[in-house]
Amino acid sequence: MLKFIAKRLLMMIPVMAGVIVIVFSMMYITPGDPTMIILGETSTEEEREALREDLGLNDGYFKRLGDFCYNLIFKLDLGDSYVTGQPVMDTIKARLPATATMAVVSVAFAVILGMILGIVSAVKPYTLLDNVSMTLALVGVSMPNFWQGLLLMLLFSVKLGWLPATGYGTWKHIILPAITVGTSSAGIIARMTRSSMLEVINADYINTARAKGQKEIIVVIRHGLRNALIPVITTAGLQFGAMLGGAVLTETVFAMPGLGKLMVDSVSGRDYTVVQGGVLVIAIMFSLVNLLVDILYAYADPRVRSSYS
Amino acid sequence: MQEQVKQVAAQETVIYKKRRQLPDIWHRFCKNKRAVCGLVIMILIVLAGIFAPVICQYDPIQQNLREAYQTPSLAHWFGTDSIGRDLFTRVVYGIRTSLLCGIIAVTISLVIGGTLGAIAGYYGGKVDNVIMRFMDILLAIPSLLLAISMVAALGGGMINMLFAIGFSSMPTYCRTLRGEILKIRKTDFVEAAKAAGAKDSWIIIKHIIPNCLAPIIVRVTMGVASAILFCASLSFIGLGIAPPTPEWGQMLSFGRDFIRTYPHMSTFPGLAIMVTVFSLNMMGDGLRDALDPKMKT
Repeated sequence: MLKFIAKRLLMMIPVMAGVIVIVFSMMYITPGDPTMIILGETSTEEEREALREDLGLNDGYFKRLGDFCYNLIFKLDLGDSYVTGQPVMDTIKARLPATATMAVVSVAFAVILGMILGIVSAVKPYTLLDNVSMTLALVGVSMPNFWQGLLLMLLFSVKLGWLPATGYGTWKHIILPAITVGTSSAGIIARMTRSSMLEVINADYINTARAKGQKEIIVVIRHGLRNALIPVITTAGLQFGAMLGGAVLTETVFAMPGLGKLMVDSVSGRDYTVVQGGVLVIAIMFSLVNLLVDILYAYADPRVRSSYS
Repeated sequence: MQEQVKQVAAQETVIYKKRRQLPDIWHRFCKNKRAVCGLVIMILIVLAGIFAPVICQYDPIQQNLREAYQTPSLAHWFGTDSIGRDLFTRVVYGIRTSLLCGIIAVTISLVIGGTLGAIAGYYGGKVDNVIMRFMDILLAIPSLLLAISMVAALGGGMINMLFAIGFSSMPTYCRTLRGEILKIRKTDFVEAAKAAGAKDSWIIIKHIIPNCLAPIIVRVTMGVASAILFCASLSFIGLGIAPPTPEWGQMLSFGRDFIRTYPHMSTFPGLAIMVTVFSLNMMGDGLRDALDPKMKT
């Protein structure tokens, strides 16, 4: 097992190096003069030139990439924000908890709702119940989450007054954004659970279990779901990335001070060091979650486990 | 002589395929009620988009402050927005923008991603390794975020946005094509064609491409759906299509400021996005089942 984890961790290194190069290059080719953003329109050319020299903006591509990597790896430094002057790492650290909490709650929501819908449809395939829950799942996938956020806000905050519309702080603030972000993933997980369950539900061991007189619920959960779970776990892991992307919109809608909102604000404020740092941190988070999923996967599937022991 | 036999055989397969497969596929597709429903809605949406000037009596861009803030009525089916533009007109004209964006973005990812995937699958070895590792890197960044940072780097505007969406969703197409080609390359009929002395180009055109088509058609249908969502998302946060061009995401973001007082301003563009994406997805599901009953999600 340790060997497996070590191998997966090593495999992450080249991917992360690639992400760093791509993100850096994208910000490198970005047109516009950062010194203009830092010093403002009223600054003189001399002042800007001095700052450019100071920040190393006059260096070549490889020198700057090297410096960036060096600072990132050895000092955990992503540079300073062009707009606020604060270190990017501190800004991200301050914004991370909101997004992380929301992502965890929404994954839980998506997995629970998705699996229930999927199991219900797989147990009674091609019935009205199946049709209704699969249509619901597809509606969830097709609904733009920013619109769904607005609708939820309208219902639960404006009309009913149960939950706060915007902001961050208490657990109540997390519910609506988490549901918003999780809905499309719940739909995808439901579809995956259904097709994966349908594949195992007619297997011989399921019939054997039934023939033994086992209760239907135990047949479905212990014999069916456990074997159908692997593709579902993979899908849930991949959905985590979609959630981090979706957080950009949801946090904007709910005015939540998370990473997503930070990214949008920085793009419109042309604060490129923050955009660069934010994308990197999110990519690392996503890769770590995928690593976790692979470990879970190995844990759930004896075939994978045995190939590494 | 051998050449002739081959030609006749090829012609026969083509005729056989045409006679058997298309009606079969159509029959299977029609059995799926949801898929037919999706197809019908999509046809209606496309027709509405094409005949927008005939259906709508207002101008989608012209302001008319005297008619601002109207709720839905007989004169304005979907009401008007804060500067008096008829929302029904804007939603209908928005079909053109959204569908066009969806199709162009998917074409970009299909051309770049598909070609790379085909090269990786066909040549294998080092080329395959390099291309697929590059795709792994792109997949490590959530695609909406990749699109946003690309728009930040390239600057806003429709063309840059389409390129960003196309580029960031490219890995799925690359993987699909690579996987299909790897599968087909090992089949007996390709081996047989090779043994019969067929050229590479003949094998690619006659055997590989037709056999890849089914998954690609399905992927493209669903891809257009998600590209429309992407496009609306980027426009919603102000990085996509700029006003006054009617675009659903941007209209939603406009209506968001009036959500408490005039919810119709955001409801109709939202519904438009959902219905379009929903029907495309239903069609895609139906196509997948119809084109290849063995294929899974």
